[in-house]
Amino acid sequence: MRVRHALSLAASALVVAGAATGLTYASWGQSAAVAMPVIRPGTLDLQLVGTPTWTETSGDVTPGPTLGTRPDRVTANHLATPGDSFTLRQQFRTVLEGENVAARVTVRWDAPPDLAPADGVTATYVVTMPDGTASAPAAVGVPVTVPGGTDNVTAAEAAAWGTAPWSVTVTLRYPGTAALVVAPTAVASAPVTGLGTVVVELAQVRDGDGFP
Amino acid sequence: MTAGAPVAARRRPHRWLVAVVVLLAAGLVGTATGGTLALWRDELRGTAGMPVGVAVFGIGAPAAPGSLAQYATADGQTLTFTFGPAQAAALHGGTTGGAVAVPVQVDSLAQGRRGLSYTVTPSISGGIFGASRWQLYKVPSAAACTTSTTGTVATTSVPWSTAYTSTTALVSEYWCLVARFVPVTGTHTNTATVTGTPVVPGLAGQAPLTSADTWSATARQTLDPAAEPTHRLTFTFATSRPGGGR
Repeated sequence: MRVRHALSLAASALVVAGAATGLTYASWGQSAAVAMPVIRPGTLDLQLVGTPTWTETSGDVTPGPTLGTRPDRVTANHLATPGDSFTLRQQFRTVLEGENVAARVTVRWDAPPDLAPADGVTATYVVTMPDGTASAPAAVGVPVTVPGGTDNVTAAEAAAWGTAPWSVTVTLRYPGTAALVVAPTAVASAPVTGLGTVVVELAQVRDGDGFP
Repeated sequence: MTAGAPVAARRRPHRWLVAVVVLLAAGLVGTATGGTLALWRDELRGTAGMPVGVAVFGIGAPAAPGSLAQYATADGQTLTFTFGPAQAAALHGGTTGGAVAVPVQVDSLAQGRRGLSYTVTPSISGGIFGASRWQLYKVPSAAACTTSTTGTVATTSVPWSTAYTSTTALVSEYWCLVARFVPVTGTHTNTATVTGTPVVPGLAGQAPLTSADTWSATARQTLDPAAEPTHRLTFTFATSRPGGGR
């Protein structure tokens, strides 16, 4: 997201700082022209691409169209039973502009997933970069940072990817052979496999590749 | 969607993920070396869920769907409907016997891509029911369960195919056990014939004498309705995947 709102304050501070020290490096922000020195702009942005897509991948079912969602637009409009499997995919795009800008993408959870019914579902996910590189599958709820190790996403890399998106793909599997049997009064309150509050974060870094 | 509270800004509500931007370290003042300490990050956040389909299986005397006497708590469970003592007197009837029709309701539901089937196994032994002729029918309604029912003789049913469904409405099916008791009666007749030759001293050649008599009896099976044992209809259900797998 472009940091327009914070920029006037930030730019003002940088001007003061620059005047005091004679040298200021800004790795973020929007273009701003000042008397001296010149502050280079930077942009760090995450953009959604499309809407989340639920797809049924059950092996004994002829693949059909993607599953819709309920009016809340996040709950799948489908009822999962043992033997089913699904994917949930959300694409997004990273924007990095500016000199000396590097960042990493981290997927983490603010609220843990509620994988109901207990022992009746497994959930893993992968993060796929625009170049097709995918993270190793991790359990939903376990944070993953991409790229791994000391690698960073640089502005040059992001520019080379163009409009190719990243994606987070969650795979839900409902193993077992026994249906969840409930009393008639419990039909309306059947459990929902909740994925928690997931956070996809693009964070600027100052270490790793490109930083001594 | 239950997006968490954004730290700075929110956009595109009602999406799986929404964006916020955060200034992590606002160390905006350059140091002696001139470095800026500010770090930016942008984030998308949100949630998603997959509802779980369920199954219901219950049996009992006919009642409103969802209010039967017994409901299973696990896939593959067996539920047993008992009868006998309550119907024995009516079945015993008068001198020519009687007949009863015992209705049973089965409620079921199988959501998602799971099918549901079940079998009914009668277990009738001893007492008046054991001495009766009985038949189990599948009938279209509880009202159709009469001693003169003409329903389908069956022991299995598949109320739910594996075709996907998200309905929450139970399906009710009805079974009817019809028993007829006719007392076993019979008559027995026995005739005894005795032949003897008189022996008279001094008189030879006495003619034989013959005598015959007949007696008869009526036999009737005696059964006590108060001593009727409990009989059972056992319902066993299972769910399945498309293609027949479990």
